[in-house]
Amino acid sequence: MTAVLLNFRGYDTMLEIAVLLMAILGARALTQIPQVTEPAPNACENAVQMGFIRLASPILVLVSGYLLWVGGHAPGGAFQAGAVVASLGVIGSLCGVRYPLWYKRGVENLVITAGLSSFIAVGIAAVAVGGNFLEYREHDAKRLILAIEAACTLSIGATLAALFAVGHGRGATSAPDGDRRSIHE
Amino acid sequence: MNNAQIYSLCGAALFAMGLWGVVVLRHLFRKIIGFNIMGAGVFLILVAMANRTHTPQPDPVPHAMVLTGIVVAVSATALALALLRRLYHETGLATLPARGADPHGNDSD
Repeated sequence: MTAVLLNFRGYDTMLEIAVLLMAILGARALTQIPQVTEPAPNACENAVQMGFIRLASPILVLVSGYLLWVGGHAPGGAFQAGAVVASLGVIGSLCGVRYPLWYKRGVENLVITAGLSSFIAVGIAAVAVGGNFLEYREHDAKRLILAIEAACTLSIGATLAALFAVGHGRGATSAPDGDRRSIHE
Repeated sequence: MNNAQIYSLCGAALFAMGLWGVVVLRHLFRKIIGFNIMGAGVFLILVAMANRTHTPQPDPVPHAMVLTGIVVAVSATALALALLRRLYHETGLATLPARGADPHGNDSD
């Protein structure tokens, strides 16, 4: 399904990713998250929640991979797979699980922009070999689309999870009802 | 009445309900929800219109527009929620100030 859309409507999907990117940029600008986030200890002490997360995480990753692959010939694709990846981040945010230490702000930014940048890179490469922007040749269309879709899945998942984290107040400078007066005084 | 007409009427009703919420309700979160209900109505109408081709295959263009619309609606909602949070952070209010009123409660205006 999405593979068909990617083939014929590459622009459409690319600009959808760009819209998501704009949303996270705007949301971050509005919440003033500090550039350097201190790695905090895991705040989740609930054994049931942690057990559920340990159980659900590999299943969600598997489902996401399946949706990504099946998108080539059936309903599925990057957005569905990305939404499943994002659900991991949402569950983690809700339970207070921190991201791994290596997942710093810079890495997150890299993952968030990977989808759009791979789109643009493949589009320009298509121009370089003598086609139109995002015009794939028959024999490598499948591989290119799968590569773009995989990058987009990670990007969409990271973007949606980051949007939720912004809304959930994780990493924000201050809680809305805590010290809101400090801005005026 | 065929399926497409039922879907279109439902979509129009959802759109009207959402529009009512956006215009009448004062709490901004309810306005955002209303905005999303309006969007759902539009999507329903677009899906219904895809069925008017008189062939077994529905028209894929409105479907693609709905897919794009869902992504844009999610993004716009996320941005609207971030704006709402910022407004609440700045003023302590989750509603727009009444016309002519000062959001901080000061007399100077």
